[in-house]
Amino acid sequence: MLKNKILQDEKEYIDITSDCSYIFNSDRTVYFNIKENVTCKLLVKAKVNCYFLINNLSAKVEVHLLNEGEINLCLSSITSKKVLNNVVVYHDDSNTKSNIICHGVSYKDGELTFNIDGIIPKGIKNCTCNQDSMIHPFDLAKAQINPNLYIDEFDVVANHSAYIGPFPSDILFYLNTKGIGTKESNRLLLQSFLLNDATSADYIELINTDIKNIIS
Amino acid sequence: MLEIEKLVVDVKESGKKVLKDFSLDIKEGEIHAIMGPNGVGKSTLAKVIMGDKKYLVNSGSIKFNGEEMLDKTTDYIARSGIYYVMQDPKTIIGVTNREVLRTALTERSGERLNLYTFIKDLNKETEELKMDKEMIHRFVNQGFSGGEKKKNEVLQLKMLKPKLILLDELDSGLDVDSLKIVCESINKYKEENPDTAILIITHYSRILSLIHPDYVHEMLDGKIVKTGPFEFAKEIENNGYLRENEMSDTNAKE
Repeated sequence: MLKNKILQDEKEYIDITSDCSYIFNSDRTVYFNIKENVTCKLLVKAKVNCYFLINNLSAKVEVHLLNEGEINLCLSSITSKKVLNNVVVYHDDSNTKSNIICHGVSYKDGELTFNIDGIIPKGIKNCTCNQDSMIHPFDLAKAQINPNLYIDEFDVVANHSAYIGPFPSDILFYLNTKGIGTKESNRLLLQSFLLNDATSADYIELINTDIKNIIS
Repeated sequence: MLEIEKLVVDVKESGKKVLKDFSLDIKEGEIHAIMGPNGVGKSTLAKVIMGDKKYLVNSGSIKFNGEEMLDKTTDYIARSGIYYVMQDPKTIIGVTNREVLRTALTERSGERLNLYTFIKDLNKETEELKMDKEMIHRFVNQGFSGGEKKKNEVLQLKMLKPKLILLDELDSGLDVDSLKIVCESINKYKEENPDTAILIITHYSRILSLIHPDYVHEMLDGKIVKTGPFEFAKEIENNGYLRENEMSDTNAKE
């Protein structure tokens, strides 16, 4: 069984190279860079913002929400291979909230699958469970999203949305009318899509490097 | 500057013919206005000039400074010097106005932008348009009012310095004061760059009192049916647009 680690206050950015488990007792924001095919378990007892970057790997993120814990989880996945990314959120206590945003890009021969599960068992009341998933496939790459909400309680709010497709053509046209070509338009849109509202310099640099690979 | 000759254009999805033998000639420094009822193809014309792939050009040609544009991409057309102010500018969450401008300018010059000059020019234009300086750091048009969106488009125009400006219903969504500010800014640009040509697409003559056209064209059923000087705009506003049967009566009498 994995030992739960408590993150040191000063650590905002973490490379994950093996299965791990973290416990959050206080509000914070943290960035994870997944570097192997791993399972990452999070026990959340506070308000937490988590960002995950996964590059050409399959990974599972398992979240347990306790003690009115809340999580905003942004997962960015980029692949030119066949990979599966799982996110499972367990609302283990009442009054817990989850907001799971999964954004992915598959390119060249990539096949990206998102399995996103939100679980609220009977008796766990007044929870909010949201999922928004989007994948933009480039070239002839493939994508699949499997959003699941396992809700066994009436007194909850649960939403999900899923989109697979290119960037909207009217947005691309708008950028083109400013003289911005397809490559640079894709770079701008990919940056916003994969970064979400991340502010960690290390995380941003990693994503920008990945974007160069996609648009090249 | 812009020579459009016998353009025949369909909407790709529906096959509907929207421009029928459309011709127009705009020389350097001229200001033209196109007026017409809804659905005659005015905005379509602007989009076709910009190379919007939603439309199929069956025949005809569009030349800009002698170069055929129909086989060019939208970004190439824009970099050639044509600037399109959309009727309904798009919102792009996650991409700031500053990033769009910097990228557009870098694409034009092919070199790294001098940041100091960029910021200096940007501040000057923002002030002239009475825009909050913070807006440049916000996502493209997110949370902007109609007037702010149009001001943002004109800000980009001033920075990108085009030779031909297409104003597609600039006055829609703008209050009286914002319209004045925006038109004053465009007029100032024209004074500083007298060879710039402008094509104004509008329903109403209000904007034409602020940006004074040399020629006013009435458009109906996919083509220009009548052309006159500035006073013609007032005539249209007073009498309404020609209807198809009136147009064929006019042709028969001629």
